[in-house]
Amino acid sequence: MAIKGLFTRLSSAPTNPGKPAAARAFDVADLYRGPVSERQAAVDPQGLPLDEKLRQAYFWIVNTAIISPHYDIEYNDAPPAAFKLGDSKSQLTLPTAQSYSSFVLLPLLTFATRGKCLFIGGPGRGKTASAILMGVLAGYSVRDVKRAMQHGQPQMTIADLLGNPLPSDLVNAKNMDDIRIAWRKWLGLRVKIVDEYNRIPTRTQSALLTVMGDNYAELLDHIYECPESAWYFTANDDQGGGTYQVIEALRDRIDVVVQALAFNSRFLHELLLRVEENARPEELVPRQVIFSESEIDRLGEEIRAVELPPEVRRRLEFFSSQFEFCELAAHQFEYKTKDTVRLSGVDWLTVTGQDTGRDRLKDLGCQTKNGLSVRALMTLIYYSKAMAYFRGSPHVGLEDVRQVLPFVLHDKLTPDPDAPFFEAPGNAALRADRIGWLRRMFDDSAAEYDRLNLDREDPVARLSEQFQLGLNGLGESDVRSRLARIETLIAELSRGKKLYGHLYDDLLVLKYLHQRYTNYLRWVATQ
Amino acid sequence: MLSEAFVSVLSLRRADYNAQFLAARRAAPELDEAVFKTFLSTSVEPLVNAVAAVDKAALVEVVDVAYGVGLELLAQRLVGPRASGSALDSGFQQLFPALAGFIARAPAVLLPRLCNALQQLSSVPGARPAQWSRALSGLASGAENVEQLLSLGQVLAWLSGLAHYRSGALLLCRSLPEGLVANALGVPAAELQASLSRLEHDPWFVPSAPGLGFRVIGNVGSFRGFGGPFLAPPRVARKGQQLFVVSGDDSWLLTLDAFGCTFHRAAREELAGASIDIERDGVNVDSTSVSALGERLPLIDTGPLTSAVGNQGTLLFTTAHSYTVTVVALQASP
Repeated sequence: MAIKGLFTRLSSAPTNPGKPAAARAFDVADLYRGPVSERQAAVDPQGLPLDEKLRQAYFWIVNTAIISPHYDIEYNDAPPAAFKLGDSKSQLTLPTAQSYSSFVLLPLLTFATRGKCLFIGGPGRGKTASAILMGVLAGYSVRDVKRAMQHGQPQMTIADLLGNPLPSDLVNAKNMDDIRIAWRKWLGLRVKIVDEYNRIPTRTQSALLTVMGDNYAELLDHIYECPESAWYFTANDDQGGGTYQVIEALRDRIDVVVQALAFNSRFLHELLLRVEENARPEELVPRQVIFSESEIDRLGEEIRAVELPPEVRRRLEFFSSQFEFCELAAHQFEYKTKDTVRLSGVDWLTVTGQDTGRDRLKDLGCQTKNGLSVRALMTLIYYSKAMAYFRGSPHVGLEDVRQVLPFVLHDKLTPDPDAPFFEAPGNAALRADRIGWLRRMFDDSAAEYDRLNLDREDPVARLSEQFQLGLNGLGESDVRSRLARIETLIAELSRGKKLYGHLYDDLLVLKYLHQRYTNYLRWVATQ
Repeated sequence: MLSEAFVSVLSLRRADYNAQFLAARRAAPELDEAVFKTFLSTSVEPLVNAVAAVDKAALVEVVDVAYGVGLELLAQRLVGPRASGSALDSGFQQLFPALAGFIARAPAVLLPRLCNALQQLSSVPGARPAQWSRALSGLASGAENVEQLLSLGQVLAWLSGLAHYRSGALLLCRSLPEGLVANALGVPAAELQASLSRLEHDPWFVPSAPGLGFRVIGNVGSFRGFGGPFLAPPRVARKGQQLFVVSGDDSWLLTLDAFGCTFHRAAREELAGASIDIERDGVNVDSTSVSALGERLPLIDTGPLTSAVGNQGTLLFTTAHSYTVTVVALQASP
């Protein structure tokens, strides 16, 4: 029997209250609504919008299940009160709008987007418990979720992970098709949990990568197609301290990294209650916040439908353009990237040591050893939409991007600890604080975007928009005029200016446009 | 001393019930074990005994639901010694045993709903939960199933003071068995249709006393210091047939008829376009009397009129020396 009572009760108040409906109507059915929840159908699951249900799930987790009094995803609708504390003048702000705990919210957004979330942090901080809760939200019993959880260990084989051929078939089979495979049950779950994934041997990690990346498992030429799933990984130490180094491709497929923050000793009474009452929150998840498979499908569709406005997208483009460029990596303009240096094996310090022309303190690109992958950017867009959706907004705000960005890029952007930025006064702590560093970079990027007045004066964007309208019917003189405009703009950009990442991307775009117009001009000339 | 039937269920479900109590106490640490035990023995026990007498097979399910509902109510201080009223405790002790046959059939539906109804009736000023309980327990035998019982409860809630449910309740009257509705309204079955037709048009018609006519109903609302809603002397306004009361920065929509009057918070925007006038011709009111429909009624003088509005059936007015709104039924005498 499902445990009843207050522990599983959800607030009947909307989690994101808006303006009340204008029309006033009294429904006699309201007589039977009130403080006592009905045992069978307290909430009509069809009637509750999914974003509201997602918020109900979040607030149930933070209020009841997980002791996480860390509101590190801060939103403000008015200037927040801020206090400077300690010798280091650490800033404590009191957000003025609804703010969230990343340790709960990011896994929940991962659940909604069917992404891949890595929990990091010391032992006993609730990483596995949180992952189990997500499994229960998908409708599985605690027992099933726990049994399906993969525990990384040095002896873990591919068979442990994926399954075994049936022994009788191995003896009797005349060909590979005759061998039946006993696939592991966890492969069919819509929430997959891999505990201590950095203790899995490298070869087994590769098999895991196939399941993660391509959503199928392969054994003896047999294929098992897995359902779309949300993935949760845990690691006590994400910096190579596990038994095995995690292969880079596997790390790269993890969408968000969430740190389990330290327990606040003021909440010891909560632990005491749990001990005394033998309470296990994962066994008390209210039925109203459990999502069916079709609801999770619908969640994904609704999240994808959230609009990303052009002005937000443009700032994201500007931010992402900062990092890949490396002026001294190559002679050929297109190859002036950090990836060129990485592929060549040339010592990083040797390259950065020659970089003398730019303000390395100001240039955001100097703070990282790599650029952003396409996968990282797609993940960032999807999670930004999920964040906006969670907050009940039909479009992504800049703050939504700012809040999810550090968790998405946590393992995607590698800081260069020798960069002058980290030597600057007050910045040393950012070597360890990856979240703070990434958020700071985004803020600096936004400030630079404002300084350059790119919202109003962005000639490259205008040229791109002009090109997007199409070439059909464009006359030779128009094309020549546009080519001239491109060349003029390149000349302007090159005049007396240092080369930075965003300029590099702009110049490559201008070259691209120039080439497309040149090809078109050749075609027009033959007509 | 608990009955044998109750003890047997408690013993059978001991582990679950203990877990539920501990979980509830975690969410509401003030939940007191002794108080809950008292609630079980004084309020749940009568229901358990009544159900045991009509359907022993339903006992476990009924206790399951009653236990969970009791925990919720106690944690919210709606029953027990810390509750502000006794309507719910009385409901458990008197109404629910009277409805044991229905509750045994659908405890998970009925118990929460009946508790919510009692809670609503006891929290609306002027509503009469005791009257509702008495009427429901008295008329329940006429209901053929749980659905009819619930509909009857809705009709009786309107008749017990929840005036805003009037239109919905009248619709239900058309769908319930005639004998049941006639008993609820206190009219002979032969007069039911005529009474319903008149109720649909006349908010001040009382089926059991059709000859009341034009009359002063009384005063509604009072100063907040005396438990009322008004911080400042109220004024009344009208928007079509809707009647409003404004007091300082607050405003309310007033729903009222012969059976009750309820206040509902209104946004300022709802009053946009409201007027202060009397729709019906021939209605006059001053500090000492009100006249309409060819009749004149004396009033207790509480100062000069500060506002007066009227729609087709009701006149409201306020005076300078009172924090109340006076209600007059504009009903033609037979």
